[in-house]
Amino acid sequence: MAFRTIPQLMENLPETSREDPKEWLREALQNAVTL
Amino acid sequence: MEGGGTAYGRIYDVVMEEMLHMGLAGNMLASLGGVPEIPVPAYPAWGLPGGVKPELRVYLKGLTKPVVSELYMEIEKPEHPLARYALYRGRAYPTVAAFYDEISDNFGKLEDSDLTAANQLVDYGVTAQAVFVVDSVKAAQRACLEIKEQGEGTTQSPYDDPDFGGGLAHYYRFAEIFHEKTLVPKTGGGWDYGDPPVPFPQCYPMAEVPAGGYVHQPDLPADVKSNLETFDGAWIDLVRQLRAVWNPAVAGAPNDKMMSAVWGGMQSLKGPAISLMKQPLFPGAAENYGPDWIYLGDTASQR
Repeated sequence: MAFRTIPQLMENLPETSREDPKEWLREALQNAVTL
Repeated sequence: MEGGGTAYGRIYDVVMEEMLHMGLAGNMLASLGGVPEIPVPAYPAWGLPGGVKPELRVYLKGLTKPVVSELYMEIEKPEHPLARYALYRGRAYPTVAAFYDEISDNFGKLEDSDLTAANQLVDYGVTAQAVFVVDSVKAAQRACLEIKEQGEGTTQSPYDDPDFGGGLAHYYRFAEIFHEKTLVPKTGGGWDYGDPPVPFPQCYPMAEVPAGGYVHQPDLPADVKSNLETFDGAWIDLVRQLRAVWNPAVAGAPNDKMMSAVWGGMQSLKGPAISLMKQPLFPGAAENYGPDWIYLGDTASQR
């Protein structure tokens, strides 16, 4: 798996969590691991 | 800073709790079938991962009072209801706690059956409080609350809940170092900074690491270049070890893989880092080099 930078990760953070909380959580938690 | 002393103890405790928070966040992601990527940071940067504090300039520099107040205290600062922040992609979080509130809210929209206990860390005996398995909505929300309170305290107290260790929250630990005093309860209510003192520690005068680091700069002293390459190589090896912890495709139990990262990967950073922090930027310079945390790329065998 290639390394993504933190800004690249943040690009994938969905703007809203309302439609698919599970998918939003997966991206949010990718960020949270290094927060 | 070398080991020992009151301020060292304050920072050590924060580091151990941040290790706990990383473990809990990794477990929350694993509970949803995800594998932490552990992205590569680049400093200086604006803001923290997840759109948290987008106005904050984050940089690498030796410990000084401005660094404590401008950076470490800001990262852990409790939420201010009147604060205004720029938006990032339509959503920004003024504090780490606000980000975890939304994570907690979203776990509240799931059912326990949405979560799995597979590929998670259990207590591995290093962190201040035990890492626990996230196998229910309740466990996930407890993890979010523990991370919040250990960073910021509660609305009533600078200490986190006794269930989470009852320690002084990170913001106030850094504030004690900044004020060189201990946070103590005032007669009649409230808190103030008083005795015993928390002397500001003697630290290596490490300069702010420039964008792009030092390692690619021309004409570096040979020992500096060697230490930078050793450190940066050890750093990316550590990232690989941490990525493997929650990854079922890598052999081994999560706890065993984390212990390998802690006692192998993390320890190997120390020697070259200290050597760099002892080396002046040039003869007679007031500031020294430091580890630059640059990703040097993969060798063929690592790709």
